[in-house]
Amino acid sequence: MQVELRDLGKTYDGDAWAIRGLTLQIPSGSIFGLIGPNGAGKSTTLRILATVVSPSEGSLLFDGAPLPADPSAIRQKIGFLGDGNPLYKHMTPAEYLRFFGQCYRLPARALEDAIEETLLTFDLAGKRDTPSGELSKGMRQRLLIARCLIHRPKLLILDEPADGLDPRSRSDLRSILLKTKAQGVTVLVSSHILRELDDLCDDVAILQRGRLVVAGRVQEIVQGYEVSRLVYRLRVLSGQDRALEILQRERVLVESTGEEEGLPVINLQVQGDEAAMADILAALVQGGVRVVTASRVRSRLEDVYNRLSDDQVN
Amino acid sequence: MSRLDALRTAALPFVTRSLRGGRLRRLLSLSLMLSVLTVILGTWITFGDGDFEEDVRVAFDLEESRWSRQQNDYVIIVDSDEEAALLQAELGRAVYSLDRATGYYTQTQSTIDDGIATLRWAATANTDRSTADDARAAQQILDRAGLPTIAPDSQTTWSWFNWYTEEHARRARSIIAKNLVPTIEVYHSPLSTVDAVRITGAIAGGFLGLLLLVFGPLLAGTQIAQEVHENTLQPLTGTSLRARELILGLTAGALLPVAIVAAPQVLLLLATVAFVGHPIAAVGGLVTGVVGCFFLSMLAQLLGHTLGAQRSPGVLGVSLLGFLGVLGIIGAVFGLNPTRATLGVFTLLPEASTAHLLRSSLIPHPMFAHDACAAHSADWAVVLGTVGLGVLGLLGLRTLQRRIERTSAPALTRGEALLGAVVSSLLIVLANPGRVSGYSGEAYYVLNLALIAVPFAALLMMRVPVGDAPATLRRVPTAALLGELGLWALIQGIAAVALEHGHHESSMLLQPVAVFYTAWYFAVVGLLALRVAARPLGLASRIWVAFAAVFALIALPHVGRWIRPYHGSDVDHLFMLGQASPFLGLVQVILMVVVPLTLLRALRRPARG
Repeated sequence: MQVELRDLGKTYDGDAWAIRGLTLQIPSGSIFGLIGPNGAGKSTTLRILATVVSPSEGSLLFDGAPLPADPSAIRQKIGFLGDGNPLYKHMTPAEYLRFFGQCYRLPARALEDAIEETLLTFDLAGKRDTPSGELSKGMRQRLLIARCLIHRPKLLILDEPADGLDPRSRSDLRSILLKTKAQGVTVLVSSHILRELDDLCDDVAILQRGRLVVAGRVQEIVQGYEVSRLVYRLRVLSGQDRALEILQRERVLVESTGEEEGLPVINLQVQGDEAAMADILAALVQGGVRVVTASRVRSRLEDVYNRLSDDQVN
Repeated sequence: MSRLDALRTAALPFVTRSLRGGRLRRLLSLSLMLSVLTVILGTWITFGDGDFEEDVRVAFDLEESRWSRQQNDYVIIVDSDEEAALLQAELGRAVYSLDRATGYYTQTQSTIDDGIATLRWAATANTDRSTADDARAAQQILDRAGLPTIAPDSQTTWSWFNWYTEEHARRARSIIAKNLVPTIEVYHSPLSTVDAVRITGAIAGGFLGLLLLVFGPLLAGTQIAQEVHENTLQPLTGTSLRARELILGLTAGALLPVAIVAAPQVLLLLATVAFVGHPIAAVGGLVTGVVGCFFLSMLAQLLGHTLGAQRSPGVLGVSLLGFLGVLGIIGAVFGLNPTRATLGVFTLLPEASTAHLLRSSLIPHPMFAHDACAAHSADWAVVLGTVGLGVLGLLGLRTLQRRIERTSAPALTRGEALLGAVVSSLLIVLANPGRVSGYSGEAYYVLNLALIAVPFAALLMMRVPVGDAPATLRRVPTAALLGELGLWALIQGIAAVALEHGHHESSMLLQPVAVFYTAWYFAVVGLLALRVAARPLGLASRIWVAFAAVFALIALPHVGRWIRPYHGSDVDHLFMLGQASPFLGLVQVILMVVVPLTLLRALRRPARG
């Protein structure tokens, strides 16, 4: 489903605008990321897109058609997971999915098939009769997303879905979203963990104070803001001084040094792409530095975001 | 999809949720147990010989009280054969000393002494042709016993007797027939199997009323409070269910357990009514019960939705149970034992009208058998109340719908709120028809003013454009809303005057001081309603709002004083606290200015930083 926002605005009191002048195109079948600090208007935008909040101005088009006065039909094509939506703790996953499937008026037989399939897809079949309150956080989050997909929507809207998840659950979430996208569903996701959106999203939009700052393909935005640096964290077993000596000769900027779990740590910005980092690592190893790990700590998207924030401050 | 199909599919998820797991089995078991309990209770109350069962039967006029029977039939009723044998032996001794038993004074002697006194009265009281023979017979018994025919001491015996009073004549004739020797009976319930059927049906009706008017609304209100409290309502608003369908679905899900438990009670009621009762009254009782359940459920859901975010569902549930329970008790008292003066309550309390009709279907109140006018008034009160509460219930549904849609528009339109105000005014005035003229007429009028403040404040809150705006950002059209409240108050005044049609003292309602205090009272009520609905309440503001609400009531005694006919023109009554001390009078004047001003100030939109 392709979604288009034209000059969308929302005010709750006729004076202060939660969002204003928001014009966006969300391509069909893409994963679209919405980025912004708290209070930027992300949740309001997502709730308008989920048709649970009416915009004060502007228009919203789903597959080119304007939002009808009675949005219940379009909601049949949307799955929405708002921020902080809990489960019914006493319901089992199967009961929970059945409940929401019936709220989407799915026929009984189709609903039972969908429940079985969804439980398998989300790896919850083994817990189908366990009360939701007894599931792990990752499982609960999977169940919440499964609920949004039980009626086979064309548009999946997730507000901060990775919030509070451990790395394993985040990884599961990524694969679920990619699988969902592969089925032709348009996915709209907001998150503050930008390094995950970086690799996941096809397109992003950055909001600040209710206004759209930038939107488009991730790579184009990164290039447009001339962000060609990567930030890495090196943990070395020995030879920290030697490492700093070698790094002085490379196109890097050492941001900080320190210690982590008893090992010296160096944070550095690399000017260039990942090949540049590979060359630096080779030089360090050849120079006798015993590198334990080299991990990326910040994405390009995050740099774009930080830069935009700096501009805002300036 | 037809509207009915849409509603059916909307209710399905909530009904399925209510019955998931083993819930249906448990509810059916409960339903069966309650049915068995109803039959057991019915049989016990009908045939039980204990004091409690006897008291219940007497209270519902199913049997004559023991005291009344002892008096009128000249019997001594005891609880056991042993006691009867003892009294029988005592009676033998007492009869031999009819003039005056010596020694200790027993129940038999007391009864015989009362009998002698009655015969003396009967022998000397005025008679006519139909009672002259009875009076002579009384005299003969006294003569045979050698007792002088003197009028008894009015200080120690009945100070009154007359042959034209049915009970007196019945008592005298019983004593004559028994030749001054009372009979002794062991108490047994006088009721029959038909009565058992009737009482079982009445108990089923009682359980039904309890389920419909207390437990149904309680579950509906608590459930929505829980949905709001745990933020599980929000995802439901994003499904294909429209807001109205969602509310009706939630209500259906909450009421289904009640319906399952209540179903056998309905069958019991209808079956017993078909056998020994009045089916129309029973069906009427069911209709008023269902409409009352709808109204109270909407009210409870509104409370649950409004307060669910701030209070735990448990606290709200207990509060609702207290509120509904108290209403239920009051309604049952007025409904089961109405008087001509309290028939109006049927318009306001569905508990009262339901209890009245369900009782009337099986155990009609004696008042209505002898007083066709009262029966007519009761019917009108029930019909008007049911229609009125149905309208208010629909307005509640509309309000909830808009609250759940979280539109920025008010929960009620101006017209809807006006309709609600008119209906509330009529129901309250009809429930409590005061007379400005006559004894304590102003008290009724003032009581109505106090009562009407509740629905008016609630309706005004529904007129505040809340939407999903943060409380501090809400724009409140204070003047326009107070204008609407003024119109409602005017309508209420007109309704009160219309009811006083023909009473010249109605003009007292326009007494300037009374009008001033009435206007001040409604203004403060309105500002309080807007303050609570539109702005956040901290601890200090809560205390101030509570104080202001109590202080607003000071207007009522002033209104009552100044609409009283011939009140004079005593300026001391302008500010009543001033009668206690001039300082308190000054405090009253200051507070009457400060209270509305502070409320008004809080409603002004805070400056944006």
